[in-house]
Amino acid sequence: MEVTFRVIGRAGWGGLSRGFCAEMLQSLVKNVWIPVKAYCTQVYQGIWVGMGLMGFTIYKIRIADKRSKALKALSLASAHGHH
Amino acid sequence: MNENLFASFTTPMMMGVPIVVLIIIFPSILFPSPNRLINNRLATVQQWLIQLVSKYMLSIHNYKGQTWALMLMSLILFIGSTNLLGLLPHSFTPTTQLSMNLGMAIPLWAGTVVMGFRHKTKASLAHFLPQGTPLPLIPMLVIIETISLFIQPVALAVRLTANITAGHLLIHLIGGATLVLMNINPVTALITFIILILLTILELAVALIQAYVFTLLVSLYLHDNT
Repeated sequence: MEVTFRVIGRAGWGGLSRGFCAEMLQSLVKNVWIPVKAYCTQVYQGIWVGMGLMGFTIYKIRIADKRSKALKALSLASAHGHH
Repeated sequence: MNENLFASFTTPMMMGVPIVVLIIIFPSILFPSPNRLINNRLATVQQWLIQLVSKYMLSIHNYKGQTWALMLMSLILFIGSTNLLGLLPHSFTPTTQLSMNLGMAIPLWAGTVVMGFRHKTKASLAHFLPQGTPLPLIPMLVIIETISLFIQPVALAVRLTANITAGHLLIHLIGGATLVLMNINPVTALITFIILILLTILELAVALIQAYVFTLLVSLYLHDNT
């Protein structure tokens, strides 16, 4: 596994230098992203649309759940307040 | 007893940190990437299996459908390996969670539908009305076909969840019954134990079949839309 050029940086947090992170990123791009680039950008466009749709559905369900919980808590508090 | 029955389906935590992502990623380390012309035995057997499955699964597809080969093979490997690993005692099976299966089914189904509407709009719209439908039945049938289209991802997810969850619950129940019966009536416990062994063999088959069915249905939806 070769990297085309090295980036040398100062030691950062927990021993992970900027150079090491940059090398990891370069290796990731060369070995993972470039082989699947054509798939992710062209073939699986519909899947991204589906993931967006699913994320939107999850967001709507979570918002509705939060609202109903807040409403329930409010109605409970007002019932206790009346008593 | 009731709480113990469903305890194995709760998302696992280790010291307050959810480790479900690690469990989902784990099966991928059991499939090493073959990087030599002649690999070791494990990689060779895996390569042979993948070639066999892909040959049969992709034979029905045209050029556009075969661009999904990577996705379909990854899908069947992931679901199959996850289901099989879930048969180990005290392990957590991600595919028992409806959230996970919906997360797989909805994007894949939507991907096939979007592909169909983009490249073959007329043919995709024509799927909403079967050929030879009598004129008075057309409105009702269009509604029924629309509902059946939108139910496809839900059915995909629920089928996998229900099959795997039911199998695990049965194993848990019969295993518990065997343990309890050992002190009461050893002969009945032996019969229950034989049933448990047969059930485990069935669950091995179900694990592989459900992975195949999920992938085959996604492949069929893709075939309809390409």
